[in-house]
Amino acid sequence: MRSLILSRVLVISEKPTAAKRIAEALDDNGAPKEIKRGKASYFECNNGQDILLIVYALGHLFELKQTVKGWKYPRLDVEWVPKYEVVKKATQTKPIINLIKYLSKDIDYFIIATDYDIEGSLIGYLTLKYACKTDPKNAQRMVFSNLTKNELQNSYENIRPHLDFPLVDAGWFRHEIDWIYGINFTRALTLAIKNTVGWFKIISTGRVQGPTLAFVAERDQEINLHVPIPFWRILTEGKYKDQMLELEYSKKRIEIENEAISIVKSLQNAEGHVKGINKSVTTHSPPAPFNLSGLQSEAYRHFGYKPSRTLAIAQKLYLEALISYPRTNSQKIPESIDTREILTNLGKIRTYKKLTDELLGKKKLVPVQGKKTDPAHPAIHPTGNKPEKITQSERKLYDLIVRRFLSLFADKSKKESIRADIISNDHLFYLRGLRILEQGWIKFYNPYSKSDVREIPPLAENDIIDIVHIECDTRFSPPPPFYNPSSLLKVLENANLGTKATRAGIVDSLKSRGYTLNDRFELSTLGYTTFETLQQYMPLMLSSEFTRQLEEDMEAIQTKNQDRESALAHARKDLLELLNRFQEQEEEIGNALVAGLQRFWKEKQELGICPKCNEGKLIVIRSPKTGKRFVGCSNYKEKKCDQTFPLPQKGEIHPLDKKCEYCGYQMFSVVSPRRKWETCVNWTKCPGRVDEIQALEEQRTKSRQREEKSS
Amino acid sequence: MNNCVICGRETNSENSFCQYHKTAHDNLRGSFSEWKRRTAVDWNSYMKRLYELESLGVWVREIIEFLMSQDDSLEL
Repeated sequence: MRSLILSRVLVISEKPTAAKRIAEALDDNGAPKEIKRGKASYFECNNGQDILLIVYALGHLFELKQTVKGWKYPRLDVEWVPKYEVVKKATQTKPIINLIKYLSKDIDYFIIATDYDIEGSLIGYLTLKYACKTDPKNAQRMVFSNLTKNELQNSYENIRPHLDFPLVDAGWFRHEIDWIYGINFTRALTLAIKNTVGWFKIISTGRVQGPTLAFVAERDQEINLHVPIPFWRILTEGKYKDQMLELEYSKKRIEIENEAISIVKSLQNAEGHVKGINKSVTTHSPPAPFNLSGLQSEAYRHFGYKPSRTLAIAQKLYLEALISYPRTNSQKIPESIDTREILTNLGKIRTYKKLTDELLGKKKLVPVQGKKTDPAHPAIHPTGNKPEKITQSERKLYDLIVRRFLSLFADKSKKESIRADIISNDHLFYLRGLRILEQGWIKFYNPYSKSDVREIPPLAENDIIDIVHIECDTRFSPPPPFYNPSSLLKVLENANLGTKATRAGIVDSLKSRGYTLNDRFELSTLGYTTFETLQQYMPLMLSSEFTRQLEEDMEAIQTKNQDRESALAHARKDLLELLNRFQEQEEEIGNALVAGLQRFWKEKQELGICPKCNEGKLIVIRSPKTGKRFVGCSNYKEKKCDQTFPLPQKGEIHPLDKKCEYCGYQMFSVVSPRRKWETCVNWTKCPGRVDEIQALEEQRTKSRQREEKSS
Repeated sequence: MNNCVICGRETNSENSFCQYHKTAHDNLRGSFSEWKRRTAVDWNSYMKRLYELESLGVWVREIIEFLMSQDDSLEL
């Protein structure tokens, strides 16, 4: 039991929604007061004889800043400053820091109630140190995995006497190395160009971004170098008692064309005899509970959500107290979680009632467990609270989480595979079938479970199947697929690069920096330029091994096997050596980047060969008089060709590697923040684009009318 | 230093191709023997058939276009 009485306690939470939930859970009457002070607010509540003041941060309130001025490198010495001093847009942090400073003057003790992970612990520590101006060693720590009333009350009752300093140190270490590596690498690359030709073009890279770029570049190269190799498949249709059956030739790929042709010839109008029937029954356990990457991968598969979007939605569901903390690596549901109560509460939601009734009828509820663990949080699971006002995308993700959770308690599924072996002229065919004998967990996880059921007729040995159609089909070996946001995230996770909280952002950053062209992660010329230059001159900046050591240091700090300062000193030393090597080759690196950038810009401007003179290239030109852009022939300066085409004036133009299906002119895409569309150079006269022009006209008229109305 | 005749990248040696197009050229030549083993095909029809395939790598496609442009008797 708590010993202090009549105390004023400052509780620091991570977000406004979390602060409100904590206040509601800890107030004796469940009705805390929200007190506004300027542009910020806090919650006041009574808990026994204590008065709790619950304030919130907005994620990080303090950020790193270099101690020595100047946009130069190396810059290795940093200090923590209020976020609004370094991030122009973070103006909201100022009144919050001021409020925390003001309230801290008359406080008996402090409690940190931020998320329990390295970021949350660091947020709490920095707020105590720089806003509350108190010694973090004297603060207490609330630890919880969801924001339900019970969990928060329990966390307050069992408060930890101290912060988890190894977590704070690991968070600090991650921030500082990410900062010094990111800032110094980016400045080095950018200044290499500036010092060589005087241009200022930011070329960004970072500790994890470099290796991620390398993964994407290596895959892109494999695809660009791919030479398809032919092979043949035998496609066969059989008939059994008026039922058509798709037969599978026993050899899936035939390498030699003549061999495939002779198989087809020898089996025209042949008969097949059922030689044997093999049946096997297999059982399948439910899939493991969700950790963050599992959830991200499944949400991408079913809904096409990018990992960063899934994380953002999951975070929202967590703040609504609908699911547990999502930034977890755990695939385990510990015994301490009252799963029966969660299922009972989920049963109050009509959609899940039948399923939960079935599970609650079981004597024992034992969830399936996965392999991965996380010391701080359990696997992602629903809290049992009923969702009130949630958006459609939140509902989809919530449903996925609930159904996965329900499936954990269900029985194994049982499937029967049947394979009939059919012989015809010494050639072996298979007829495969699959039946679900017992649905088990599949019923609970539907519609997200895959079941490729295939019924086949009851066959017996020596039955005859007529081969009614047979042909060989030419196929070609495919290139490896481009990465997608989900598969790239998996690669980072398997390579142990980045943290569960940062990976999704790193994946997104490749596109936002212009290194990839689209969500397929096709590398742009800018991506290649950066990759090639680093590969030639500074391969360590792309090396997974190099940065993995830093990840290992971070884990060692978290498990108290290394101290933060010595790990940081080591990281700074390595970085300095790297930057010195960079400086020695700055001119060569600058020249390589400039050559690549020139290619990049040229490619962005070129829209194929001029259809009029067949000699010049169509390029994007901006009129010096009107400032408007259009397409003209590169021969216009020599007055050899006067071909021009109009261009849409808004959005970025990206040439595409294809021709218009209606008029044969070069295609390009127009990308604006609101939409992306494709058209051809001849778009205003193209016979296939009359509707497109009409729609554009209507859109313009509408927006003109809107403007007139508002004025 | 030379420049790649296809993409303009610098080449390290006396090659006409950059590292990527050189590898693409090697792959194109290297795969021909495998194609010949599998199906009756001569060099020209090998290139023509490859050129029609969507899954052909971009750099290999550019090599084929270059080789075709060098030889008037070949048309894609």
